[in-house]
Amino acid sequence: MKIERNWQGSFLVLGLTGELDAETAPDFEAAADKLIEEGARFVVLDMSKLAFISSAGLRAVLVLGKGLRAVQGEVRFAALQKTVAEVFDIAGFSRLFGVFPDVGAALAKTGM
Amino acid sequence: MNSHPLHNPENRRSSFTGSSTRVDLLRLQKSVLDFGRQCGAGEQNLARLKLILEEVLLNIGQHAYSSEPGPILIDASPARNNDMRLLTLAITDWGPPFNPLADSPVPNLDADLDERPIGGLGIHLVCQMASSVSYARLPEGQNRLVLSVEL
Repeated sequence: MKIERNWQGSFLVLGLTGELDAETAPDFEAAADKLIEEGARFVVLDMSKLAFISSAGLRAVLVLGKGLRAVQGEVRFAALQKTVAEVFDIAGFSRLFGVFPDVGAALAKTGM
Repeated sequence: MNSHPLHNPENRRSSFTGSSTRVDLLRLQKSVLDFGRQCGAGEQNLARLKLILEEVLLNIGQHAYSSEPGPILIDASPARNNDMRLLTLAITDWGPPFNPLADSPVPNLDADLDERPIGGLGIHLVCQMASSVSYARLPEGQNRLVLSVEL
């Protein structure tokens, strides 16, 4: 999986490409920990190029969400593909997190 | 009418074996996914199948063979339930008795972020995405999970 970083003001947009599964989740968790250490607080995950997520991937984004909450930050999710959206719905993540149709909408909502 | 033998679903029954090492689990997952593709599964259903296989196979690696790797057998066969095309998977391991359907806690999906435990979603996802799931401990000493996935 590829992670592209793109700062937009105080918001860090992470573009995920590929699959977030048991193979790639540990790398994502390590990268996310490092970003919080480096000062990221408000993160938007651009999921438009993420084709697949499993429970290991859900675990990784939950760890990121909790990590950001602990430093008064927040994670939001944008542009979920259909397969990923289904997993988010079943896991209750669509209610747990802010999920937006695109990155612009995720950045535009106040409170971030 | 197409007369190729592979177009008769009954001819496509297939078995896959491997051990619970990480490399083998990935190979098994890929083999069954390829089979699902040959049976005509669409992208959305392939993604479901992939997720189900990842959760079930990792679960076997963690619970059935936690101390050392052991064998896994997957029998896959296309089936039909009214108008629905299904792929039925019978997944067998030789580990100690473990019923993932009974022994996995039901996640609280309404918990707040602070209260939400890390993990515990795998079997919930499997049960929601499969058309049917059942577990049996066989008299010969195997765990068998039988599940159907829409094609």
